[in-house]
Amino acid sequence: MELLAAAIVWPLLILLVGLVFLALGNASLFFIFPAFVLFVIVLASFRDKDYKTDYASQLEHLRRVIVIFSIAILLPLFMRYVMDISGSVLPIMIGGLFLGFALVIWGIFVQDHKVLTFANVLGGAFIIIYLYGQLWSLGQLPRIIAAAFGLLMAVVVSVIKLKDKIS
Amino acid sequence: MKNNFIRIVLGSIIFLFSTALAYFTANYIDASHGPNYWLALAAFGGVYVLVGIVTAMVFPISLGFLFSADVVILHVLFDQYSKIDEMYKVLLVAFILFVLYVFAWLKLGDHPLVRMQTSAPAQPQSPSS
Repeated sequence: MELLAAAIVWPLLILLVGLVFLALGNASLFFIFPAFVLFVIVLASFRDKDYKTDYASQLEHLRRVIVIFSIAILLPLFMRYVMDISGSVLPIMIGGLFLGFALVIWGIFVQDHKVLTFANVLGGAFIIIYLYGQLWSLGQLPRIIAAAFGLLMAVVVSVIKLKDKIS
Repeated sequence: MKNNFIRIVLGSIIFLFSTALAYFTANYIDASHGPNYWLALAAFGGVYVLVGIVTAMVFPISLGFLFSADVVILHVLFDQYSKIDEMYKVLLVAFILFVLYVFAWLKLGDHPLVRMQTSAPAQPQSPSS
């Protein structure tokens, strides 16, 4: 199994990155530019001295960066396609906001897994930002509901995560 | 070092010839048996993935076929992506996310064993007198 994983991991990652950029062809510039900046910033961490001499570590780090980038970009694209097939109805948007916040919370609270932390926090944030942009077209009341919901989630997560620092 | 160089050369040769075979065959099928160019390419991509997995013990062969499958599959998707129904795009992206999450969960955790394997080799212990 290890041999199989070692053989197929890089072609699989290349295929996944190719699919990400393929799907981005239909997405707005809103996702492309910040995603690219994010990718460059994360890749720049190669300048860390721990990766300069150890080739295996560099490959491992590159693999992690690719997975983080792919998940963070594919999540809002997935939500976009769901919105397209559902006709951008409000219940789907609310469900998408739940998903986005759930991913962010999962990313914040997961232990010993930096890849999932970064991927979920970034992907969830992209979903939330995209859906808030879509809510703008629905009118005043959905915007108020969405803003109140977001504020409530942020306060709840902050209280749970920072409970020790607050008390 | 020399073995790695030979592996890379052989793998590259396999990649080039397998990619050429896929495109030449797809062109022939399209010309002689009707417009089935993209279907033939997709079939070759699937076959190459299977061959790459089956030959996982021989890295040059496996990676040559798998990278060739990457080229073929991505080319098919690039040309046909806009014609795919939105529901299938949702399923495709969902499947890719599922694979990524499973891969990340199983293989990319911050376990101490992983850190030990990727860190610098341990200093050799001096023999006890």
